[in-house]
Amino acid sequence: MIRLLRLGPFRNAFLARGLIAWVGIRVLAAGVEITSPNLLQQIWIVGLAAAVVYLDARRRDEDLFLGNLGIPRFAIGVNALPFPILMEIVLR
Amino acid sequence: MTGEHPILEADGLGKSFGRQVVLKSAAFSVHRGRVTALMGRNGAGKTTMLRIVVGRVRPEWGRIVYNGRFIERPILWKLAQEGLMYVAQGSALTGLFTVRHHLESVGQIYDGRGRVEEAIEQLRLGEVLGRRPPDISGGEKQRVSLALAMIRDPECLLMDEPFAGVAPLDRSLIREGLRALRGRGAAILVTGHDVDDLFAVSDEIIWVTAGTTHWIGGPQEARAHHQFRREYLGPRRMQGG
Repeated sequence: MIRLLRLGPFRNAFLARGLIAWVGIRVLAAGVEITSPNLLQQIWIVGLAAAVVYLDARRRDEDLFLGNLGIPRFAIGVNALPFPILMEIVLR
Repeated sequence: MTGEHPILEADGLGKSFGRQVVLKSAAFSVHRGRVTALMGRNGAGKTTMLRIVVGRVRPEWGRIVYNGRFIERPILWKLAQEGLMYVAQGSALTGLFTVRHHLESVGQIYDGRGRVEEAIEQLRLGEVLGRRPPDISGGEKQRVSLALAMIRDPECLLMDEPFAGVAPLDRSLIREGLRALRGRGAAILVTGHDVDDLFAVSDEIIWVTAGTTHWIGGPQEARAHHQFRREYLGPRRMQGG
């Protein structure tokens, strides 16, 4: 996990993807008329954004490169969390 | 085989995909300072064996021993922290950043910054440093992957089909790179069909066929092995080609 934080470009890419995934999920949520989610729904949205980033990284085999650097897969999802959490707090 | 303890050992591996039994009882061992080649037809299970070792595929039975320790559930990132590196077929790169970013990232994590320029020079990567992996050829990707290994300096390198679809100049550089890593004491396991290249770099040949493995010996023994020649190498090489 700490190793990923040391890799600026990779860390920033997953942070940015977390934000993009969150925007996408929020748009979809608005599409099903969830415009003011409750706390549980907000947790779901944040978790879903991290899961999307994680699965996308696996699809692209990016977890292999990071795995060779001794970075666990879950670090990708964790690294995608900060922006979605921040945005949900701001919107609350 | 050498008398020294292998750094990586797999024994009795079995794996099916649906009704198709790919591996029945496959085994191999990899020793420090030696290159071992897994050779066999497409679908024989070579890639599956490598993927089992790094936890990308779960075997139905069999065991993996790394550095003398039984690995109940292999996970790449944990093995990487113990000195193993895996280069999948195609390469070990992401599409995210430039080649230089990849090389420097590995140098940063493994204190190999001093080896970055050396690897770039040795594998002649100067022209591709500013490009992203999707924009370079298969041979260049393999060279970059090998450069990552040279910077990483792993104890054990698993490389899936390093010569597949690669131009002659790239092949020659990859062969040199593998020899250099072997010279530093790395245990290397490669797979493929590229007989001339694999024979040129390998110390040991393991034939993967019918879900099992057969230890053949060195390239000389492989050329002389009647069944291996008849069933795998084919008539051209039976005539000494």
